[in-house]
Amino acid sequence: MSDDTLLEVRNLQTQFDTDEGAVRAVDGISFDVKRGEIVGLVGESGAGKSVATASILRLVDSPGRIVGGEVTFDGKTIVGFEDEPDARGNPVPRDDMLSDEEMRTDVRGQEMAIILQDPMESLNPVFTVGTQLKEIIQLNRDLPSKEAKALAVEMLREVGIPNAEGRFGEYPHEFSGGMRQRVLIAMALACEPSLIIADEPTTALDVTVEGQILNLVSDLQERYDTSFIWVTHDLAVVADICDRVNVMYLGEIVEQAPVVELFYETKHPYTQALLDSVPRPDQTVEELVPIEGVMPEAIDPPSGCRFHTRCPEAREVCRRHEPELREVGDGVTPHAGACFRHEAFDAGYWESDPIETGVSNFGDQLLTEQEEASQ
Amino acid sequence: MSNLQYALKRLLQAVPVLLGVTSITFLLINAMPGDPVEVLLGPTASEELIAAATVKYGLDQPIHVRYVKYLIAVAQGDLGQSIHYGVPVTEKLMERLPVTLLLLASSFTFAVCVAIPLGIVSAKRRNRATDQFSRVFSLIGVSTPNFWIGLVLIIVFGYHLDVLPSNGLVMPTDPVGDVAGADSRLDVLVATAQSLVMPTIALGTLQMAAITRIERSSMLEVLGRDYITLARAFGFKETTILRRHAFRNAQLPVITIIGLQLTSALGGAVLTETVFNINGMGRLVIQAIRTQDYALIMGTTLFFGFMFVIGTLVVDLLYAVLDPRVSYEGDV
Repeated sequence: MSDDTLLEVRNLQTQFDTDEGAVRAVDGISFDVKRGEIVGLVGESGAGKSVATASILRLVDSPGRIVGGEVTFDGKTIVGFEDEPDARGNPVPRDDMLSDEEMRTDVRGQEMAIILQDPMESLNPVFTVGTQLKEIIQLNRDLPSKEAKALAVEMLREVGIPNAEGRFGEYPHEFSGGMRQRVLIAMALACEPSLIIADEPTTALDVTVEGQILNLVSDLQERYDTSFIWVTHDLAVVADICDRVNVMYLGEIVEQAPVVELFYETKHPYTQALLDSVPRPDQTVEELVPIEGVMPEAIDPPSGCRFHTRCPEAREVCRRHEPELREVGDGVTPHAGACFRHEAFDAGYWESDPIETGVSNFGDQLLTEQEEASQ
Repeated sequence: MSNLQYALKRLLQAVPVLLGVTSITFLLINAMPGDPVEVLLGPTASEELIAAATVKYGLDQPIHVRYVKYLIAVAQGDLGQSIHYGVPVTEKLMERLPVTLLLLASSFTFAVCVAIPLGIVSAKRRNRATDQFSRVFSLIGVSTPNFWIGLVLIIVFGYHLDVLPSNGLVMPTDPVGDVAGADSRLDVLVATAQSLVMPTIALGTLQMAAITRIERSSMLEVLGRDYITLARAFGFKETTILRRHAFRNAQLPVITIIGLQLTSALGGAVLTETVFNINGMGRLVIQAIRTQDYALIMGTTLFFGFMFVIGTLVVDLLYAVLDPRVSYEGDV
């Protein structure tokens, strides 16, 4: 695995302009993807994972727009703005930022590909699987029809579809979910991109098929030396496949670490809560602990640390100040976290008063009230 | 089962449908006050004459006997004799049918050719000025009765501007001598085109508006699908995505609506032909009802019923052509 950086995301901000105000779906995230690396992007629904990946592809649909930050990919500026906004306060794209046309012809498909969540929905029902694969190859690799077809059949074989020639001419509805996801992987790999964005690609599959697909991806990733951004909410998948992980909460990255570090040296209460809410083969517990409450709306995020409303460790300081992502590791392995409990912050967390988070003991309160009422 | 076998099976299913149509129509026309003989002979006819005519047309027999006799004749391809015109009903239908078919074909060509591009542009430029315009335009279109559009067109273009003929329809097959001011076949064709403009707009506006609306919403739905996102992420051009990846998928609901509109257009043809004085099937129906011409009413109704069955069948067969998931093979 080489050490040079393929994708660099710095302070990326994407917002949706709605009638109620701007929803900051991605609010200043930074992370890197190195060549040949699988980087996880983890979080609950609505954390901004998919908007983040759409921003990297520059495929954010109106009313969404990228309003700040910088994304550099293999020396190309995907997102980059001038320091000063224009008269109306809108960000001004820098000259070196790729045009929409350059994004389409030089980046999408050629250099970056995606695998989407739902294999049932991701293939066009009116064309054969082979036609769709061949079309993508012809568009991005400039091959004559015959060679494109040969490559398409080879790719189908590569992702483990039996009788690839025969199935080339079949329609998506004649494939099972797992087989369709294999086809989508073939599509993503066929153009030999350097980065594949996998947006919850195994969520819609059952567990045995999920395992097969994960093995297939690991295999192919090594052979093609492709980098992946793996978007998921499933920590088991993260443990299985990722090299490094970014945990997102409400549009921000709250913890960033190599996968083993993240699981054993967890630095952020949110990550801890995620880990406690799923069964782990390496730890036996009496009962799983769910994360209390629901994620607040991104249109009106809580003050201070955005997780403080649901955090069992929250103190006064968390409500008043917002922690940024800081190096909190042992100094050997890079490990960043955004929580005042760590020394790196020196924000007076331990002297601060604990706050009632409201949601966490809501059930207890209810019980107490009932008891009082019955007495 | 191949698509051909499926089509034949569906045609067989048309038999009970048409049987239902005939029995209801037969009951209804016999429930109307008066009878065709009175209409034909007028109020001054003598008792004997009326009695003789009643026997001649078989109207002295009880209704169930007449119905069964009619069905047997129809099964042999005989739709009976028109009392009013004094000719076989089939002959009258064959004379009027081409006129109505030309009008329908012209209206649907107009409707489809305007509606589909308009719907697509509207979906592509959602909520922008073009879209707002097309939405208001189609809303007005679906809510305006076609006879009113016809009358307004006649007043504006036929009367005030005097640029288009507003009376009758010149058929392309009409003899050159019969068409005023025509010296050649080309002149006749030009006259046909001119006489078609206003009836086409009058009849086609409703279908056009209805198809635009469904095209827009269907396109919007397809453009939101994952496979379109995927196509974008693989670097396809927006025009390619519209034309190749989205268009075909979006046409299924559109085809359904076109099929249904075909039947409502038959009703619209009755009004349009009346407004523009066109001697087609629509006016024939009106004429038949006014003169209580039993055989002619039955014949035209039966024919409209048949058109309806054919329309829905064509829609179902087109599904199989457009969508590989729809197949009638293996269907029993």
